[in-house]
Amino acid sequence: MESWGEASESRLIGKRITRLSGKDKVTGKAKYTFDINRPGMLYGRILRSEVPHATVMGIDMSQAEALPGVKAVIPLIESGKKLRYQGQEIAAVAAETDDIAKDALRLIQVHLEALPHVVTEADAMAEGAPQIRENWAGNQSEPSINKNRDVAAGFEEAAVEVEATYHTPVQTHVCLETHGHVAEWEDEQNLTVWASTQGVFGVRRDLAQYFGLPPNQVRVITEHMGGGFGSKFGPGSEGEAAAKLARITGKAVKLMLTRKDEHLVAGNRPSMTQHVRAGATRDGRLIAYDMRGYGTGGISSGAGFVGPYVYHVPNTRTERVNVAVNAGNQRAMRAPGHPQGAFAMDSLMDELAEKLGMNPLEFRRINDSSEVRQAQYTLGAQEIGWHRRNNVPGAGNGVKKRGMGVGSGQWGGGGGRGTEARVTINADGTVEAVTGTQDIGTGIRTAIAIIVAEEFGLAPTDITVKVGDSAPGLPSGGSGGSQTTASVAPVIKTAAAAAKQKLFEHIAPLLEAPVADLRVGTGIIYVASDRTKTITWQQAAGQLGMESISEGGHWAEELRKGVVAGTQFAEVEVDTQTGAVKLIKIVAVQDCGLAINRLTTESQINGGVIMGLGQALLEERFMDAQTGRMLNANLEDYKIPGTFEIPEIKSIVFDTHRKVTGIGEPPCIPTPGAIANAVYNAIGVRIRELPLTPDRILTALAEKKA
Amino acid sequence: MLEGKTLPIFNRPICQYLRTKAIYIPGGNLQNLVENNPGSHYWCNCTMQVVGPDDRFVSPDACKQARSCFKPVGGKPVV
Repeated sequence: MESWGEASESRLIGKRITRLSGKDKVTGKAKYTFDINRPGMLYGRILRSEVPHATVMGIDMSQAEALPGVKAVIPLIESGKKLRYQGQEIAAVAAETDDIAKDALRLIQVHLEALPHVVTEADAMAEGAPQIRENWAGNQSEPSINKNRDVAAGFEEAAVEVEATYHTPVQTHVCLETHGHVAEWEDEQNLTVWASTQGVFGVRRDLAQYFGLPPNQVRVITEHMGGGFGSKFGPGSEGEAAAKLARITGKAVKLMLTRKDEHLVAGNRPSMTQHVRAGATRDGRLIAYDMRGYGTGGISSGAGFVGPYVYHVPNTRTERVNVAVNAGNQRAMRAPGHPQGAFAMDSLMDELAEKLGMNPLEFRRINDSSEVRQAQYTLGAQEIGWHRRNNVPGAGNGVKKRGMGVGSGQWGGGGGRGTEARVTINADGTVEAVTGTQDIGTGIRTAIAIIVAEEFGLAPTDITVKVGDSAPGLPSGGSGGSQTTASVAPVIKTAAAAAKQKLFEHIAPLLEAPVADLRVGTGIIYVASDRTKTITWQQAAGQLGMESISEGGHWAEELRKGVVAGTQFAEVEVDTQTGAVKLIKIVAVQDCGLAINRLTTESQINGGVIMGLGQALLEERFMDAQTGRMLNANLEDYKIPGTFEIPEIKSIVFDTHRKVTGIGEPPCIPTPGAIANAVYNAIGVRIRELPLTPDRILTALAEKKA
Repeated sequence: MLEGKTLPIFNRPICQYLRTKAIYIPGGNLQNLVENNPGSHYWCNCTMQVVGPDDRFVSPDACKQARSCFKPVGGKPVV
């Protein structure tokens, strides 16, 4: 059985270690896809629909093709087919400069026959609305219905009930690095693509299939990438276009999306509207939960959300439908379906607790079977100073009112099979670890170095880690579902252990000791039973002469474990004259299993909290019903958190066991619910709709006053 | 030859062009393309869109052998 050993034995694992790529990133040495420039490279641009629904009657590209500097123009949709949302791809151009490419787009003539559109859920579900998706009567999917025990009987037992509607809007993906590729054909049969992707091997497979090539004739490189959050799997239309244009022109083509493109077509977190009725017994047990809800992921399906969530309800009935609107497709966004469902559930929990006259934390303790979260409640409450919370929501006479709230979350993240890796020890003492995963900014490069360095008694900086390249032929899965570390770490660990074993076998005769008696220390290898027999790492490796040791790893189920629990506490200050919400502090207590690198784990939690507070306070896609266009497809009007919005964040890595798990997604889940409950505690008015913008705060306060 | 035949682990043929996020991540497999998941987004690797080459929506339920663009897993790819 493989094991990560005891914490007391770890020299590096679990410690706070600066990420290896940090210096390269802040100095600009790190090359993202956006930074790749190839000799003679052309610039790609995509012409997109500005209408939400139409049939393409014809595309005239002749003027664009005639523009000097334009090297290729290709259609991305055929005449007779439908455009179903603003931003959908129509044609693509490759030109000598980006400006020429933009000019060329303006010369493409597109003949359309407009079709009726709907861009809001209400309009889509209204009687008589145009049907925009085949087989979806009323623009709604077949309902997904789930039942557990008897919800009617549950309500008969309930002493208190809450009936409410909770809503979260569509959030668009805002990756710092936009989606895009640089594509270059070596010849007709060999393609190299630099991709901003969460899945090097997924892009390789998809492009190979698309062009009818064996996978090993497509090379995908992602040395560094600027965020994906679930939106960067597969090459997408932009990858297809870049590769096609490169093939036609015989030149490398760079095609990166604009920020507007990102908002329109690069994916979004679907909206959620849920009408829920729930009941609890006098002694504080959740007893019944009946929910009907819907959401939209644009024209696509997939607008799912969780509920009931985290807390146990014995009698439930839930019914969900997807609503189709003429807007860009949803794509997975950090913990798909969880933050919006958690916001509703944690709001509901506070509302029920208030009806029971119970402290909301105590109400959670009664209904939460997770032993981990029970401990987290205690720790988080101490850290935020829960005893300072308003006993009466909205109490006090000042203009600025403070409040506290709590929210919870859970996730899987246990990793899976499919990674291959190789660890090599060279005679000069250098060490190389290679695998086909990709570092999406979360620090897997450093985690790999830590694992290998721990095994060899070296420093992480002594390890050369090569990831983000399909060429070595060592596949790994896409970085999604918080699976990367738990998938990669066991294979790296076993590869390093195998390489160490080989090295021990090589030097055991030299040390006149059995292999089983050899150990690594910091920079040395020694004989456990006779510490006078010690050689340095360099001396040991030097014994390899002209050879190297190169070993692969294997999946080791016992080194990983899924399912994590988390809870967060928020303290806010609400200005009752302006409606502004200022975050004072957020405490995030996150079960992380074995944190390979405590520093980057804390960074992950910080990042999740920041994304969660953006959902709670700022982010919302606005669609214009008349034109069917997005009104805030930019970063002026679509707000994301900046330094002024980010409070003190206390990220607590909550150690639970010595097995690796993933925490990329879970820290963003509890944040909106915790903040919404804190706002209620501050002002005494419940707002059931995100984001908690000043206009909503002031409206709610005015309604309370009236 | 398995071309066009149902593989034993699946209850029906799956189109080789059908995509969803779950098949890209560790532990994911084609079983995710057997049944519609209301929480999943589906797209086609031929069109890179939520509709197939026939301009109709794609999903495990919708991508069936009757469609002209359907190519089963294990069959020859169409370029």
